[in-house]
Amino acid sequence: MLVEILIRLAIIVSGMLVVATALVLRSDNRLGSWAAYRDRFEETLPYGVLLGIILVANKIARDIGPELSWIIGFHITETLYRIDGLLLWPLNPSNPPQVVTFLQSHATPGMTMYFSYAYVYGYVFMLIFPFVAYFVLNPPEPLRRTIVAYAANYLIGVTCYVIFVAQGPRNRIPGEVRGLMYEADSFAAYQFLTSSINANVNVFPSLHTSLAVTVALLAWTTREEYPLWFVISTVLAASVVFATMYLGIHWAADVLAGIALAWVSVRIGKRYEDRPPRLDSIRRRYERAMPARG
Amino acid sequence: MSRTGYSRRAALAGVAGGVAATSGCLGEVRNLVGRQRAQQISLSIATLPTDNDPYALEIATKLADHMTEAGLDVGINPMDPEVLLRDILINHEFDMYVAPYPSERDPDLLRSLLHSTYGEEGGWQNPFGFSNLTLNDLLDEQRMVDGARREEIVGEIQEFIVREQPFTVVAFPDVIAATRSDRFVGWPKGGIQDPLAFLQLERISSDVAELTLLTRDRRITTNLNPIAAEYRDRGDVTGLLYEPLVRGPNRDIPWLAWDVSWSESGGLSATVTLREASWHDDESILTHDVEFTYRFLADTSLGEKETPVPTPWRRGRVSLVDAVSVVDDRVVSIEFSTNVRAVAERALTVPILPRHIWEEKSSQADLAGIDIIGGTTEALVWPNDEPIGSGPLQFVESTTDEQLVLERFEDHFLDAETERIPERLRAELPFDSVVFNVVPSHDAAVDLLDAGDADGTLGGLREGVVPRIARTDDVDLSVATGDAFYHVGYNCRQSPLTDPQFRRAIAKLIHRESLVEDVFGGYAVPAESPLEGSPWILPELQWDGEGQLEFPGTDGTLDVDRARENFREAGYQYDGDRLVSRGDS
Repeated sequence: MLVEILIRLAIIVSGMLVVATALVLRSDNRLGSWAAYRDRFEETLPYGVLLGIILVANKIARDIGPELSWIIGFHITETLYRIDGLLLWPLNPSNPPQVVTFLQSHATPGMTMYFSYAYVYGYVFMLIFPFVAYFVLNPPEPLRRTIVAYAANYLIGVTCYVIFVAQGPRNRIPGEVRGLMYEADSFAAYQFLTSSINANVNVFPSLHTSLAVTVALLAWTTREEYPLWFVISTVLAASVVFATMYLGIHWAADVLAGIALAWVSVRIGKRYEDRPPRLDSIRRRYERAMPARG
Repeated sequence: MSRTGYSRRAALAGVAGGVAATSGCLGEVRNLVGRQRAQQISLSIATLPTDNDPYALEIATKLADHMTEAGLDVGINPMDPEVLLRDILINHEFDMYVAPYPSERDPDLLRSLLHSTYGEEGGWQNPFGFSNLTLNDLLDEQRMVDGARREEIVGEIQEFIVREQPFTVVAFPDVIAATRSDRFVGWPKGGIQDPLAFLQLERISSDVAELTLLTRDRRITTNLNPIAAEYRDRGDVTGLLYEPLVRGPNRDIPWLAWDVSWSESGGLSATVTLREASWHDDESILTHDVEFTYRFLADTSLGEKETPVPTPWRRGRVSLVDAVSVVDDRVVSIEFSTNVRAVAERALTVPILPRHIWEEKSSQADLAGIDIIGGTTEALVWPNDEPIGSGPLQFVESTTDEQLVLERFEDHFLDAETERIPERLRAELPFDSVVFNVVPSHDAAVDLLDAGDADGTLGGLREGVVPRIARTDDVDLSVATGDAFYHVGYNCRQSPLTDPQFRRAIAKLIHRESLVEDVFGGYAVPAESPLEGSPWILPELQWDGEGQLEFPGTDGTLDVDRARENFREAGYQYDGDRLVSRGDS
């Protein structure tokens, strides 16, 4: 089942990549020669290795993380639930609805389909496309910036997963909120994919949100080169962000934290776009910063 | 709590001091400030997330809503099954919980659930910390008498439970199964629910070698310890690997025992003659394994510790055995602590363990050589990830959170000797291996079955997938009445849950009919006695649409004033809308 899903995912996302490449990429700011591509590959390698290490560590941490966080983590389901119940107070000050409940109360089969597609295919596509677009782009910084920003997302996000244990809306207010995607006929099997990647207690912050918003923020930094991509990524990111709540997977607080994480990650990406982060330089910077703070 | 209380009082005292200095009536101020301000009663309900259990969280949510309306501060904490069970069954760290209890509708189970001497033990042994001498006597007596007298006492116990509410029974959910019949037929109602059901399946043709079952319970992929309470419900899968002396719903199928002969002279005892059988590692099963099992389950430290460390699973059954003595390699004599054979028989259903493997598990459980908790033996925490048992199936491999594979054990006694085994169980195993695949959701399970990737489900499906099953062409729906029941457990060790009046006021907030309708979609039987649906049910407690404790409202809609009146009558006070109490809560 998992294999079938992965194949379907690969086919659909490849299709999206081909179309987007044709639409977005322009010839005037692309690298000219094979030699230039080879150089690009070599100079990006240290960044790639860094991301690789973090992704492997991320996978390991997500496997053992939940058990560890059940023991040492803070249980914040109730807190997230209560925050979620406060945010919509302008709608009904005396008894504000839960954000997620409110979104699902407007559910239609069409919207469920659209947001399910955005959550699965749109998300994977928007994570991969920047590699294609920025790899062929003339200045090397956007690619490095992207890699560092992704790495920061995973590093900070997974650390939060260990520190905070929380269940998503569908596991806290089941009468009001349902796992819409997993109940939709054609998407039930996708839970194989999501559950093999992530445990159900890894909700705070929403990495779907943070990575999608990261891509949109990065697209803003390259709006001169790829104006169309900025538009596409913004629409997609907004869809993914809404999807996480609409589908009953994340609380509004997870999403807000995800947006904050995206902003921080892009800042980190920009800081290290000239040189990859190294432990000793971080330590020096930290030591230099300390007296100033003290 | 105490720290904020202190600082608040200190601050008040400061202000009061200023006021007192100007007004001069120091005595009254001291009396006023010295009193603790009443705090809102705050309770947390531990339960299972929807991903792991379809109903528990919704029951908890509805109860929490009613409690909130009644003025309590209620939080809900959904936890993974093994984490929840560890908290409630072993650490006893909870206020209230909602979970299913793997019942067998046997009155002696109530003794394990409620006898106060079990209050400090792990497992489904009095997790509530309930303690009442009258009830203890009733629980002890019901296993010592027979016939009408036992029926009478079991009735009294049920009355007691409903009156005191150490836990509140909610409903017995139906077991919903989905199966395919293109490879295997002979599925029992509700799908496979006990180890013997595996033996009764029939394959369509001899080419069919593998039975694939889908389950939501990923715990079987990481832990196959037959006595680890937080990983076992009824032990259906470990029951395929480890076998008891007798099997069957009436405990009348001699299994590892070839013969059981009972004697009542000088207390009840049974002389058990074993079959010729072997463990999965080819060692013979001898009477010293049987003797060891009962000694080990009664104290897994084998006398090494000052306080015995009994098994957390099947504890009640083991307590029925007084002594086991080996007569020879094949014959063993068991003395019981009861004179009633129907009760004593339950002791013969515990899994027999191989002594040569488990004997060394009696040591203190430690983490890298450091004893961090004390009072726990290796036997209770060992994952037993490559189990050696005696069952018709043996372990092949498992993948964490994904899959467990068992294969036919060629040397099982059924292949050589079927004497005294009922006809229906005698046929050769209908498969060479069984694959248990963990599915992420019940919806996904139905999809997989529809695609022909599996043969059936194990453990009940949620009612929401029934239409999905009905829409498929080749997947059959099968529903059976279940033995497990959902209940609300109270930690009777801590205030205000120590107070039966308070527990009753909470229990009244549960409206079973509307829960069965809204949460279970009708696929459950409401109940207030744990023995509902069994011959032991007290007629007055049999569910007739209304419980003994009256719901304050109509048709599941709460009448807030009446609910609050219940708490007031129980002696609790309101500060505005909030139910308050002095001291810690």
